[in-house]
Amino acid sequence: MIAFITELLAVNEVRTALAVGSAVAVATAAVGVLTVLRGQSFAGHALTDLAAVGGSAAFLLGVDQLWGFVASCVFSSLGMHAIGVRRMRGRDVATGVVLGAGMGLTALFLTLARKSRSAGSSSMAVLFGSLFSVDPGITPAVLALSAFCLVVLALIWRPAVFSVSSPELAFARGVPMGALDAIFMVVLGVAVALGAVSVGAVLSTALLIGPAACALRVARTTHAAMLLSCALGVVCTWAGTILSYESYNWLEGKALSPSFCIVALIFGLYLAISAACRLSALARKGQVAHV
Amino acid sequence: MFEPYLLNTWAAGTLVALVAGVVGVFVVLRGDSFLAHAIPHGSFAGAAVAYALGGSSLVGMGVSAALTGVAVFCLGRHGRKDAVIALLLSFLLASGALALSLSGGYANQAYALLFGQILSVSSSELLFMAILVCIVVLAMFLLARPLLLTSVMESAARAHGLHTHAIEFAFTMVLAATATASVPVVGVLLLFSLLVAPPAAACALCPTMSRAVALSCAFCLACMWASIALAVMTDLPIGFFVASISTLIYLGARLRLKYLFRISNENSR
Repeated sequence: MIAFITELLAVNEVRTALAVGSAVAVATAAVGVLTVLRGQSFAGHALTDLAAVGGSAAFLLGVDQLWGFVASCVFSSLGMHAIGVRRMRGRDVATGVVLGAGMGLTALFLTLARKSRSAGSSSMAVLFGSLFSVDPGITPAVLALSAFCLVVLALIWRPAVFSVSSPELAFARGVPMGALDAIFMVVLGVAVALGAVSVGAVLSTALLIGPAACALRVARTTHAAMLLSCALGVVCTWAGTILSYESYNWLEGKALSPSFCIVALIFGLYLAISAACRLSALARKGQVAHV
Repeated sequence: MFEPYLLNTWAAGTLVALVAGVVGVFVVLRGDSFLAHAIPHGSFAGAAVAYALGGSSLVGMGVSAALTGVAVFCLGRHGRKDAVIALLLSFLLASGALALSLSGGYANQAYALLFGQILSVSSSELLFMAILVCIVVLAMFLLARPLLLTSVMESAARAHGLHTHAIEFAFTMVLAATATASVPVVGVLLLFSLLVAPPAAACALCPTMSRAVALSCAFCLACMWASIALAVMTDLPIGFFVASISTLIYLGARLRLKYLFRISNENSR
């Protein structure tokens, strides 16, 4: 097993993929816990699709995609904050309209990019990504952005959880709700952009929501959920990357993309955990009935 | 613009616009945007798998859109519905992309399915779409009143003895049929903008349900026809035009609403 891992780590692409993947997994999984708690999965997903706008624009201009992702995500998360997406009423439609407009622009940019240079399938990499083709040069930037997410999250953690669990009480105690929301949206934007680097713009939702949703079903406290979510995110990323690397040998020259492996593992994990929760709930009910 | 080879496109576009106009009003009323966003992703995966296996893409889309609906319905009853939808749709996108990349037709097929392709409608597909659209419109006609009650006051609907779960499930299936009929023309990622923005504009402007449905169909038709014309003239993807025009319609409706409010405020003063 250890020999297997050292052999894997000898390959440059795998090393970069695992380093970038782990940093991204920790940051997105941590931000994901608050996202799921706040019921903002749709906003998180809309941001991933808007990340595609920035990514495709960067692709069209020939800039590194990371900066396209970050710029468009932070910009649109602040935009969502300004429209007031947090208000329940009309949130759904406002998110939907912004999302639709963003996808239209993505279609335009990708088409223009495909026409201006015969890019072939690399234009699809903006949408579906590949950890193995990450440029090693952006590793420091990814690490710095992940650290930024974690630090800001640690600073706003207590008031943020407070405002989720009882908004009225938090408001009465003078928690600055508007500022808190704006800061969280920026962190969410950065996390989604990081996820877009790792598994591609339109799949980044899974990395954000998946581990957090799993952890919240199992854990009893928010701290435990946070730790568990980060651990699950890293495990899924590693397992997915290694699976994808090995699949090249099994499928005779064709490979499962790392994005697919990671997303499929996360989805499978969620299914397994919710089935286990359901079973244990049924078992408990059965015991009560026997007594 | 009206050459013979484009006639199928115009017919298909008209059908899609009509059905999206009717179904979209209920999507907006129920706050089901996220579901309406997720189900077309199911048809993407289905079409990709069908392409990889060499089967009919419409059948693949129909089956997998229906399965997606069932999965959302079953999983969403116990967990957090929005988190489940988010996970499911990224899984479906990823598996669709995988099927296309394994079969070798990656970029072009994925591109056509995601962003729509107006030249790909054959006459037999058009017939299939027409049948699906008839079924959807008929189902919406039968469902309209109970669905409206369930969406607006769920407890009252239950008190009336309606099976609210069954009604919600039926609506999910209607969405799946809509997605199957529409994805070949407008594409996965942009069917959604047609399902949300023009109906939301219509709902904002109309006081009654039937008028909202009529206006939303009119908006969708206008949006669709203009998009086909522009796409044919400029050779850019149709999805881009559908998204921008429907967003403009929504913004126009919001502005008009603001203007009406201001006038009524001044009058009341």
